[in-house]
Amino acid sequence: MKERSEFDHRPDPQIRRALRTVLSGSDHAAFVKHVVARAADSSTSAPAGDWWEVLSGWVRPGLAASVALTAAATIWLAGSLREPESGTAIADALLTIGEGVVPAAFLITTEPPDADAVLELVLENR
Amino acid sequence: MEDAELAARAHAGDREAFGKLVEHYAAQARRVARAVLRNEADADDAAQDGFLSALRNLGRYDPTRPFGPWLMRIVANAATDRRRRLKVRAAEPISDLTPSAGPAPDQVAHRRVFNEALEKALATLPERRRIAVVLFDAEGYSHQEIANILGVPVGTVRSDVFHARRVLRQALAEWEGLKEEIV
Repeated sequence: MKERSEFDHRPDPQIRRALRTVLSGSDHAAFVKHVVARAADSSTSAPAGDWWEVLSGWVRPGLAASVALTAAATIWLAGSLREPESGTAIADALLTIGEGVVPAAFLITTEPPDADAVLELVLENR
Repeated sequence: MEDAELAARAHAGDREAFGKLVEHYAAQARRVARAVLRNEADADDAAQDGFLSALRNLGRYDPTRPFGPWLMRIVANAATDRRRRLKVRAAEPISDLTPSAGPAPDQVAHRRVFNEALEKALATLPERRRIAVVLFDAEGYSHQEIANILGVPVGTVRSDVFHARRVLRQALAEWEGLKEEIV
């Protein structure tokens, strides 16, 4: 074998021949035929196109939809949790009315105020 | 026809184009897989897995870059994956015509013993060095291409090839006379 420098970066033809002799498989044509047949089988049994690509195409819209749903659910839940406060909001409004202008009708009457009238007053002051 | 064009046609469903790519790269893929998996049957299975994986992922192939290194990366990964999944299988049966059995009478026997010696030398190498020296010396890829295939720096590839060659040259030197006769 010709002496080649350890630092020779060109492919070594003798190593090349030796490796190809040892590592080359048998029956090349049968191997190719088998691979092509397997490819044909997989293409007929699977949906057209790379189904991973199809799935990945749906990931972003799916994520966006789930985020939107989560946000909507959170807002709804927060809103439903706030509902009991509406009672206190009315009470606060009633107290506020007392600090502001009170309709004369409520001051001069001896009768208890009509609930509808009070509600109307609260809503006007909001 | 250029590999890039064949790849594009194969991606579009042209089986003949895919067949041409397989035909062109089959021997190379099998040798690379064999560098990882010493058993020929396992290596062929891995090479087939590599081709099918490449076919499924042709949409990710950049046609401006050479097809061979891209495919070899997939094949090497398929072989490595298979090796990890498989239990260690025995390598190809060792020829009973060993030097200790007496002088080998014919070239076939010499070839078997020579192959054994080279396979043993390869088996002493770490997997990455085996792949590197096969890609470099047997398949003619550049250090840079091999670095891209293996996902390591170019300097690592140079070192791997250097060390692998030393081992192989030592094994070949022991059979120098027979090598010129057989190879």
